[in-house]
Amino acid sequence: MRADLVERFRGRWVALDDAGDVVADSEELGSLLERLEAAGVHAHTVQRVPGADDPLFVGLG
Amino acid sequence: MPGTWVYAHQDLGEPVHVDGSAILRPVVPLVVASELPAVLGVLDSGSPISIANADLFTWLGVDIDSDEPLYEIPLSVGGGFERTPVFRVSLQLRSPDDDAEAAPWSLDLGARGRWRLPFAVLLGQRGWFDAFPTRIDATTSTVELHADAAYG
Repeated sequence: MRADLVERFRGRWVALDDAGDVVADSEELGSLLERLEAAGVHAHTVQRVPGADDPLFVGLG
Repeated sequence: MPGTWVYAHQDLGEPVHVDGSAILRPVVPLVVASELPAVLGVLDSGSPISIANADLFTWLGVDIDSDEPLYEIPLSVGGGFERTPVFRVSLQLRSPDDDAEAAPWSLDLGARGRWRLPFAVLLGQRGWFDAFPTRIDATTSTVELHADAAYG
C-alpha cells in the first residue's frame, strides 16, 4: 500500500481499485461492504489500514 | 483446476522493520460474494485454526447472533478470553492475476469481533493448510490446487 494512502486512511477499512487507489473507506468492514454493494462500486480488494498505535500481529494471542 | 498459483507477499502498510524494510505478509485474495471485492487472507501455519472478522459472516450466509455454531473456542481478546463461535462456510480463492476461475472450498471459520488487523481472514492449519498444500518463502506463497478439488 502506498505511503500517502497509509497516512491518509490510518485505522480505516479501504477498498482499493486495480491501480491501488482508494475508492471507498469506512470505519468497519461491514459498513464498507454494505456501501460497496449498495453503490455498485467496483474495487479489487479490501483491507484495513493499520492505525498508528496498532500492535504488530505475530499470531493468535 | 490442477496446478499451482503463486502469490507475492504484500506490504499492508504496517510499520516497517527497524532496518527500514517493509513487513511483507503472505496474503491471498478471497472472494466472499461475486459483486464484492476480494478480502485478504493471511496464511499462518502456526495457527491451529482459521478465524475472520465477524463482519464478514453476513456475506457468508451466517447470522452469528442466531445461527447455531458448530462449536466454540476460547480466544484471547483485549487481555481477556472470549468464546469464539465457529461456523462452516464457503470461500473462493481468487487466482493471482484474476485470470482464472476462482477455487471454491469449505472450511470451519471462527467469527471474531473487535477485529483490528489489516486483513479480514487468518488462514491456519484447519481450513487452509489441510485443503491447500502451500510453500511459503520470504517473498511468495505457492499454493497447490488439485484436480479433484475436494476442498473441505
